[in-house]
Amino acid sequence: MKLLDNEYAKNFDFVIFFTVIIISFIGIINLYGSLSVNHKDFFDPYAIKQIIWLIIAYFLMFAIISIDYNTLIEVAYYIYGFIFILIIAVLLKGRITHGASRWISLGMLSFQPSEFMKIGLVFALVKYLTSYENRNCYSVKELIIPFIIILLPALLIAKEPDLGTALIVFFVGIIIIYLAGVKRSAILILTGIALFLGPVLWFHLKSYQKSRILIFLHPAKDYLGAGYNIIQSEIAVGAGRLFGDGFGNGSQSTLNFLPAKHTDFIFSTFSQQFGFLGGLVLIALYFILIIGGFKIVYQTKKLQGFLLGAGALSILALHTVINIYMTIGLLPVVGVPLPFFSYGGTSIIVDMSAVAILLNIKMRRYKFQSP
Amino acid sequence: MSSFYNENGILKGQKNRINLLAIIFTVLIFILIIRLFYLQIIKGGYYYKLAKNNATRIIYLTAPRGDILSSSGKIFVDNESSFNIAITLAHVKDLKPELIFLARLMHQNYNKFLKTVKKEEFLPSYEPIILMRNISVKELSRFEVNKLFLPGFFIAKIPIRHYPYKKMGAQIFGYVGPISPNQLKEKKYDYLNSSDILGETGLEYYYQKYLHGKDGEKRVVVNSHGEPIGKIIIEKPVMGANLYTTLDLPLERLAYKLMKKREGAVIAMNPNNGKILAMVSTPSFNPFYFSEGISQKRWDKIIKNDQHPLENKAIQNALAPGSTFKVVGALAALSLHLITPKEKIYSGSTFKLGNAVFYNWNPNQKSKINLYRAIAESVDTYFYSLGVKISMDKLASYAFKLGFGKKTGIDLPDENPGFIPTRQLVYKIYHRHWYKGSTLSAIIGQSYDIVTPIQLLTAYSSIANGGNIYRPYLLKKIVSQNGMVLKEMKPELIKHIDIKKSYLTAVKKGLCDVVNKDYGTAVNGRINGITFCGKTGTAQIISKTYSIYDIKKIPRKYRDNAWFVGFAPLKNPKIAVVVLDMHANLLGANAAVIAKKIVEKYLEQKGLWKPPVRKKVNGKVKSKSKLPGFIYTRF
Repeated sequence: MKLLDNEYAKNFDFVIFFTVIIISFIGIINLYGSLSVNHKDFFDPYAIKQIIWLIIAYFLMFAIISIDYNTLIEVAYYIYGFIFILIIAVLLKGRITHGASRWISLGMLSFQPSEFMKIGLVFALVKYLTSYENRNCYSVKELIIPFIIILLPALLIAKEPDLGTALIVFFVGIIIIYLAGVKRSAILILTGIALFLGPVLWFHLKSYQKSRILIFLHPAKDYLGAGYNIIQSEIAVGAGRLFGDGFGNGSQSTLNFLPAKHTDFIFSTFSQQFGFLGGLVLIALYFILIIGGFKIVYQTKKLQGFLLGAGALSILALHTVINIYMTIGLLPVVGVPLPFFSYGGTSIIVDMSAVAILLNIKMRRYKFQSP
Repeated sequence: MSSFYNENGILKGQKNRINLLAIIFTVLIFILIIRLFYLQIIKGGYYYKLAKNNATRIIYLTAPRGDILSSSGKIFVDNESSFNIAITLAHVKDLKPELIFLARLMHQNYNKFLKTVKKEEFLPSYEPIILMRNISVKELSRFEVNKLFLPGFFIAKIPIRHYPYKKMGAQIFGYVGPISPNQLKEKKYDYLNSSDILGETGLEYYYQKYLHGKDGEKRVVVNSHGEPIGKIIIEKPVMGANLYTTLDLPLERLAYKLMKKREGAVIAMNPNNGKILAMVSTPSFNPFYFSEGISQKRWDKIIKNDQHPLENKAIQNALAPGSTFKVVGALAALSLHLITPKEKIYSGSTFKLGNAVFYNWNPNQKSKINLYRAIAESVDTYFYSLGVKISMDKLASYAFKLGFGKKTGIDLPDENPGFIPTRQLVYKIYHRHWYKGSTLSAIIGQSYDIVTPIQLLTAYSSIANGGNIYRPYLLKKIVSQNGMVLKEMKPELIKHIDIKKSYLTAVKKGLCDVVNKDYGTAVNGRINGITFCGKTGTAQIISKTYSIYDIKKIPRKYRDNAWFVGFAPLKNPKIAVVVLDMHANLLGANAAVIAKKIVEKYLEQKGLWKPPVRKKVNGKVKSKSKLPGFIYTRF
């Protein structure tokens, strides 16, 4: 196995690897601490499933770093196309059953193909942008296809409806294009188009998505309705104070006042138990992960690695920042997971893939400098 | 492959941009930490409290109000349990359908419920709001059966006022009602919560702080569905302190019985210390309907009643005193040396002042009489001849000395100070100049001068006891549930009026003759063996000459007000009574009979007087008689 190759092994980023392990370990503890008071059980399905997904994710990580990322870029369009078909399948299935259409069920475990589009998009976009010479300044005309690559899945995902994932896909794509380099005139034109399309998109949002955004601006207006989530989350975070109420004592989650306490609002759950200091430790870990990622991207000599790494890193960083921002009332509530912390197999796989891509890039950064 | 890689190095601009991205994310994380610091450290305490309250449902256990008792501890007002439907907004999933369901279940209007909820919206959402007060057993069982469909709703058991004597003394004890959102904001009510009731009028209002007690709390830890899951912490409510009034239960009951069908007021007082022995105002109302929040229909009915049942006429109703005011003129004239008690003055049936003619109530009056007889027969013309010699301001100063024109200071809210005219006051208030004729009307109590029953009683008590004006009071003591005396009322001497005792004695003799001489105006008030003294008064509502009217033909509201105020016995008086019988069917003297019965009852209780033997004999005959009963029942 190439993994055991000395050349690769010495470039393996242990800091990132162990940071992820620590974060996911704290995540498991936190999941146990968030259990409802009358359902305290070591074999809690949430925690057990999370552990299983993490184990699967670690295997996946080793699988990904064992394949050269350039090989993965080669097959990028297939990955992208496959996930795209899955999304359409999910949409069609939802149209038939008239229900929420995000999930594909595989027996005991189910997953959301739209989440994988975050990774698929990065590969496809990098593949397209690096198929030609490094231009560093794309014009609007040259950006038409990249934007189709971004917007086609993003709009479909928004229609599912999964606004959070759609936004992440969109922003990750924008970040990659921005890093690749865009003409100043193109930036102006694209901003103009965005300003024009903003109101149009607004009218296409589902009413609950609109109300979430409106409520974000005035949470107290609808205490028991849409504003409830934000208020309960802020209460949970604030109630933690400096040291927190202690493990398992976060009343907002154990008494189920906090909605989506395992997923979107897992940070609020954590904050009430472990307080400001606990929060600082957790944020420091994420900071180490993100800065480590930036270091890898910065030191990469190849544009493929550079853009791919930046895309993967954007997924992790955007997840972290957007998720915590919405739990503390700085952003409207959209479904974005906290990497390795939120409950959910798909998001663990996606975030782990992103980490694996970064590790992969670092391991192969000297490959062509010293053949 | 290799050419593919070599062509794609990284340009400087791209490196700069990744640096910019790293800086942006670092700043975003820094902002995040600042926000966390704000939420957890600066506002942490606030959110901590919110979280604790979030998980805890607080049910206030309303403390029973203290009882209101007679001076000997007999119950006037106490408590019973009531069932109320309450709602905790924080635990309601979908308010509208649940309210509609409840409204249908209880045959109530949905909008009314919604209004109640909206009114209390500023409250924290975990505080219960009471939707329906004092529901029936039928309604209770209907609620309990459908409880599953009404999460967030629950039955609150709240003590409610109970009035064994219903309407009796309702204005004195006052009524209680649910606290309004505006009252809740007042500082003096900061110890109350939204589900409390409070005293709105009377003693309930005046001694609210003592009667209220300390509300308890039941804290139940609940989950977001409002299901109790944790320990229940109970802080037991402490019942309010018991209020012992100075009122004498049998006397109060008798007074109410006598006045029930009339409009007016009766007060009995101990003239030596100001202790109120009985106080009624009629017609009355049932205060019970207020304690659950009175319905608009009932409220309208009470408010539209032109006999004003809510008004405590004993202290809030200021009226022309009529002839009872003559003692003021008598005392003023004596003090100013205008007359001596035995000096006889000619008093005819009319009195001329310039072009104006003033009539005596009795057209047959034509003789020289002294003060005693003038009081006893209530001769208007005698007092007119005093009136021309006294300025109004001088007369008023004697009225003020006797306590008229200002509040007596009784421990009840909203006392009326009455009004005693002086030149200055009349000009200031009515923009009219005083003319001499008005003094003549004022001296017989038919001018601008208006007094309340309690003022009249206080003034007569001071004449009876030799010049001491005491503050009348209703509170004997307040005793907490553990037996501690929180407040005890002592007789309070407001002032000693500086009028020579001999003058007071002279007036007293006149008052004595009113009842005890055959020519007196209140002979039917006479009590065997007791020198009952007093003065009748008939205050005209519209001016007219007497005897040509058939009383029944006058519209009720224009009929005269009958007064009687008196005390007994003459020496060492034990009780003073005032009776106001408004728009009376029988004039003046009838009020004396009511007063007489109250005095008799009181003195009999005190062992100072026994009913005449004659009655006893009758009783014996009746019981031993073998004759058919109906003959005697007509007797």
